[in-house]
Amino acid sequence: MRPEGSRTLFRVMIGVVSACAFAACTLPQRTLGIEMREQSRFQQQWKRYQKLDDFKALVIAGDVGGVYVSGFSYEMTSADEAVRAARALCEQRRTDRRILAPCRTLAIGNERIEEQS
Amino acid sequence: MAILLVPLALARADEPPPSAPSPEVSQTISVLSYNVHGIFPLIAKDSPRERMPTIGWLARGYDVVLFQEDFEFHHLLRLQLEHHTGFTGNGMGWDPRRVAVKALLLPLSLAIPSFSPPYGAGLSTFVRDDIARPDDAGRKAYGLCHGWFGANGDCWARKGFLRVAMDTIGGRVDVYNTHLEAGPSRKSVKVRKAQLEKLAEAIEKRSGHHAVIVAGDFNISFNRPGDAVIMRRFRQRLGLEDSAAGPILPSWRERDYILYRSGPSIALGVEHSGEAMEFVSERRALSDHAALYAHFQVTPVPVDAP
Repeated sequence: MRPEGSRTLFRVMIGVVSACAFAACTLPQRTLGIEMREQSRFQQQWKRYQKLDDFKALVIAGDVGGVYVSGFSYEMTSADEAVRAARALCEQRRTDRRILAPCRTLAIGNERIEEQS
Repeated sequence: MAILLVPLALARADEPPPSAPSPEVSQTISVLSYNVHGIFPLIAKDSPRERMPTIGWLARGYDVVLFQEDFEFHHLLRLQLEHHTGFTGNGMGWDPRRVAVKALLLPLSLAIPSFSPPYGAGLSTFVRDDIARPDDAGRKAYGLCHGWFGANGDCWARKGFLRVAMDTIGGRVDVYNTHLEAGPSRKSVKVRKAQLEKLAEAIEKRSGHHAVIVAGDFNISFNRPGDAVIMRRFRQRLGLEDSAAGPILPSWRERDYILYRSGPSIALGVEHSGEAMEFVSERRALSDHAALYAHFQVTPVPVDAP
């Protein structure tokens, strides 16, 4: 092979290697798995709850940022009845998931309250 | 499978050997239920082909593994679970609508790898060889679905249930794997209710009063009106308890459950249960569902002499 030809081949090879190195550095890395949702389970539940009709209540047990259960009611005849119904559902789920924390009223209607348990 | 032999008190030489099986002998069986989102990559929006071997490899640690949405990459999961006996759910069947869609999509299915809709149930269950009963399994499609498009696209799969039996220290335990209708609409709730009724009928018929484990993707959310009632009725009808397995991470929706009941000769109890965190890494997971696990303690119930 003539010296000029080998020089051209060398330049091409350098170009290919540089392009590969550039691509490896700049292209996004393929990461295994699926990115998890930003919206939490509780945020989704709260959004859905707000659309329900009065009288309604939301009662929860546990940590809304982790393991928790809830009970909710809607279209009840009074706020007291709504809380009672939601609490009964919460208690059932609390037993299912073996959550030690007691059920507490989180909201009556669309108003968030914090009840001392 | 870990067999826990609780040390018995040292028997005195003059004492006769116990004739009935000791209630203190028990066995622990671990169960994993995981919707693996094994669909066509463009719809899954990632590369299930790369996830499946890892899922299968991690699932090896469980005695009984129940997968849902195991549609396109079943062979990759099966490859990893070499010491488990595998069972699959019902196929696509001969429903005229699905057959027509299959025929329409056939050219695409032939040209594109890992694209073969419509599907069967997408269920698979793997049981460790030493407790599996290879000839004792059954499967049935629910024959119900609602919709082909958007959130109501359940008709792309012929959903159903898969029953497999396993041998335990106390006898046979039936394990049911299922994936119910998704979707939040009233029609979807109605379909889920009907599917659960069919599943309850099947369990009553096939398993009688025996010990059972029923797990899978129920698509039931206790945060949705309507769902809680149908789940409660299903459980009450069969006397099923919740193993308390549920998602820990706040991102997950609550859709999957592991339920169980004891039988006349076997007492099932939950040692511990929860989310199998090995399938999650920081903000990424190996599927779009939480992987749930439960460790059951199986104890034979001595039969009283007449």
